[in-house]
Amino acid sequence: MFDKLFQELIEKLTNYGLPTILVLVLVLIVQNPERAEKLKLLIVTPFFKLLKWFGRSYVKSSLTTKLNKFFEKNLSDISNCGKKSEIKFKIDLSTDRNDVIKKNGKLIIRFKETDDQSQNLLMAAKIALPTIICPHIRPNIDPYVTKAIDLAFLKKLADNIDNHAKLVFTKHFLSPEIAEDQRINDLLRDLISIDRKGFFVSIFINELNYVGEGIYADSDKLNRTDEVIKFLDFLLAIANREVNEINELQYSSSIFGVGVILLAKSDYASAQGVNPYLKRLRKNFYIGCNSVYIVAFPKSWDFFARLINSINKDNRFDDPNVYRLSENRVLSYGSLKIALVRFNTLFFDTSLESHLSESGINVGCKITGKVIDVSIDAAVISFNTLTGHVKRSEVDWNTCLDCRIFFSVGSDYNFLIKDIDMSTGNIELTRRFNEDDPWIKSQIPVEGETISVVPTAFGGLYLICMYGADIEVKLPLDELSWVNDIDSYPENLIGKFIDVKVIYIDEKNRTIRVSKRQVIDNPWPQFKNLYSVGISRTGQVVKIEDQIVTVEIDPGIFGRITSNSFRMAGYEYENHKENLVIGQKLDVVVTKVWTEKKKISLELKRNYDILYPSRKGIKPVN
Amino acid sequence: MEKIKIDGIVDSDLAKVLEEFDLYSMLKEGKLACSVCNKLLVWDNIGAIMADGEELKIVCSEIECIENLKK
Repeated sequence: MFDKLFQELIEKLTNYGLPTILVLVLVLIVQNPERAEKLKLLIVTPFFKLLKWFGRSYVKSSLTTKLNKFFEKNLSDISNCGKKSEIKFKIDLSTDRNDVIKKNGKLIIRFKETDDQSQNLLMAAKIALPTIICPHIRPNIDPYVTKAIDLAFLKKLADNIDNHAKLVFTKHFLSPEIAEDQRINDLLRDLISIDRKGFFVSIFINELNYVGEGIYADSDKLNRTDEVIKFLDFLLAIANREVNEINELQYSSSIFGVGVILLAKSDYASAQGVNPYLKRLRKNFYIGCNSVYIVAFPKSWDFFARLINSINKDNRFDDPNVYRLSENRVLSYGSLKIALVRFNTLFFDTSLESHLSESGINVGCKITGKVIDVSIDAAVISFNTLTGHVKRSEVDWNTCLDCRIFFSVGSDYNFLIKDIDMSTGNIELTRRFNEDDPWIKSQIPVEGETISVVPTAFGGLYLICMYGADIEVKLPLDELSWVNDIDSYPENLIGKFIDVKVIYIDEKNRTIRVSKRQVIDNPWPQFKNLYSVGISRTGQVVKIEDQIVTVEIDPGIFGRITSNSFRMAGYEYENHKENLVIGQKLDVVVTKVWTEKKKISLELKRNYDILYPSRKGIKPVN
Repeated sequence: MEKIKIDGIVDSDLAKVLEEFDLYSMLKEGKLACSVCNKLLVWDNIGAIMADGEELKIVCSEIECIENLKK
């Protein structure tokens, strides 16, 4: 494909000549003026390297291009009041005495005219860093801390260039500093450690910048070195944590208020949804955090996107004057994605209570909301620039097994405000409207009454059944049948009308339990007489398990043979799981009837005389 | 967009500027010292310069000296 494009390009150039190239170059430069500097570097480099011509242009273009690229990559995530900061370097070269005098009192760095510009680059960056990286907090922290921070940046820059640059960094920048103060080395090691985990620029520097603005605004002159070091230790503990290690995820001091939320377990997330994280996020702000960093590991990136979507829908986190989250504001560092959430200060000033009151929202009021996230156990609803959540148990008067069946993302539904927790900002919603309450609308059966119901779904240890159009009743699985007959297997009952007896009613919790087997009397006392020990039958295999084989000895009457019996019988029975088939006929003898346990124990006929010699003489089939 | 301006001078212009300030011959003769640490200055270890009125301050390439000159 590229060959074809290239060929077309050559053809066009041949047709239209030099003007086309110039127009193309002009368009590219107008589109992005930085390209001019890159183009200049491209043109002058061979002349400089071969003939040492255009030294000034080579140094200038080389430094500008590389510094802009490095800082664009590493600092574009540092935000100042939600506005993405863009830093562009300009190298102003003096050429004569007058130039130098005009810059009276200004530092003029000597740039060597060598092929390798590493030292010039690192020196230019070193001079620029104090005005770029947390400039306002520098006066409040000890110089060894700021030197370590600058060295961490220079190391990143050197690593980005080449191995020679690393040597230049060590010789000319690192060694002189650590020879002077060993604490710089220790601190630098910690900074590199959090940088490897992606926390250095995205969290540490970001937060220092943010806190620095506050310090500057308050004309704070206090030394904040200890607080900065403790903040670094806090991040270090999270960055170096072992799997399942529990870390402190909040750090607060007189200037810092930082929370960290780690997203890792996607299985938990898919069941619970984003609501627990929104709750935790709100809690962080309510207990005094100014910034909350959401750190997502690769397995949770999908969930991370869902969470950010929900945060963006809530006015409490969404204000043009503070951080506004969107996909392009997510910081990506290797295997991590980090999002910074700050509270909407305007909202905070007015408070949730007054916002709700102004919007006429209170407990019991009806609202219409849009589903913005749904999981098995909960859904997050956006309404009146806020978010609330509805739990699975509040989706309907009847059982909801999965919220995703009821709700679809992006659709509007009606809700009632069930509860507002002012201390955490949580708003709980419900769809259990009084006018739909089946216990008020419909006739409730009474205990002992036999009713007709339709099982609709499995609900764990019971079948969920519908009585009439809207009354839900529960049929416990052990109340299905007195005997283990196939007709009473739960999967065979779904969707069919069955008669059941109401055995329990709890009006408070709106629970009705029914029994299918209690519609008839318990037959087991009679079985003791019907199936006395020694009675033989030719039964039919209905179920084969590792330890037990179930055999139907009379229609609807089942007995059990243990795997030991088959091993003892040997031959074709030796490996019963392999050799028996459902429906196979077996000659069996009743060995015990367990009235309470409602079980009949059987033995293979061929084993019976050997095992029970005193009971010799099997009773014939009736 | 924030513009960061860095003032600099390349080798060929530095030699010319030193000549214009009548300092080049002194440098060759080993009569110039770093304005901060007083270390003897030679061509290879010049780190930065700064005009101070009609005079020129020169420092060696030690980070400490360059930063001190800046202050």
